[in-house]
Amino acid sequence: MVAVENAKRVTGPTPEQIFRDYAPRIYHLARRLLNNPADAEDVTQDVLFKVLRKVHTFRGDAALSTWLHRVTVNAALAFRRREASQHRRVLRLQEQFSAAGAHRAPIRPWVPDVGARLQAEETRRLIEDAVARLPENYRDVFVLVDVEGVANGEAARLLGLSVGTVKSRLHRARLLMRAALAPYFEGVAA
Amino acid sequence: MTCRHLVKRLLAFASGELPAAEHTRCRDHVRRCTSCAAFAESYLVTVRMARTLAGTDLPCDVAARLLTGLAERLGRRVQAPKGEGEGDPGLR
Repeated sequence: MVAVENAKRVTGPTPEQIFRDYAPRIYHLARRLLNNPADAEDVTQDVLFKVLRKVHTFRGDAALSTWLHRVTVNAALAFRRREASQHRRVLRLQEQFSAAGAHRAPIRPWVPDVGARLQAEETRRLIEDAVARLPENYRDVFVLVDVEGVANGEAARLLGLSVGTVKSRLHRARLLMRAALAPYFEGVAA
Repeated sequence: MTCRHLVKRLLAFASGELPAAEHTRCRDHVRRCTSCAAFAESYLVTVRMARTLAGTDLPCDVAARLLTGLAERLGRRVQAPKGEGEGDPGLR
């Protein structure tokens, strides 16, 4: 009943607008953090319900957006802690340098039309699959910073990490992502 | 400056966070080393690829279930945005 009363008092966005503007972001953020669409639906449902109860207390999109990230990340991490650890194949980096610190094999440039391929559904699936295979610690940071565009400092606050740890995990995640995607985008050797 | 060192410092180099002298060493190495130039470029493309995932729409079946669940918890119907939840007349 409290929720209904609060929903009635909302003078800002309607529940429909909230759903349209925020449900996709909440769902995909939760899905990528949890690696499980069904669990992400549960988290999204809870977060949307909280949003609809509290939306009248926010002033402006920026405050709501920041709060949404925090609530979604907290809910997803709490959900993950409750679940048994998942056993799935995760990405690993191969040693790529010689003893002298040079690349063991030449690195080939990626195909020139890689930008045009980004909108293709097949390409999106490749990227999603690589994100899903990141180890959790790296995936959390990668999803927040590189997918969602959250600043390093804010990601550190959301995850309870230092900014240095966020940067180091982000770099590692990018290297893993690059290594996973390289076979699909490297040009043919001359 | 080695390839290993360049790759290790790539995030800081790409975001302009390195001290000037180290930045210059990295830049000079990338100019000389075709492998590191290709590596650095593909690293940046990887970041751009990640951003394309933001803004993905909700799958229709997920949207329909979420709207139904919200309607139950709120005690009122939540209208489906255009194109979402279609096929479930209870959401209209």
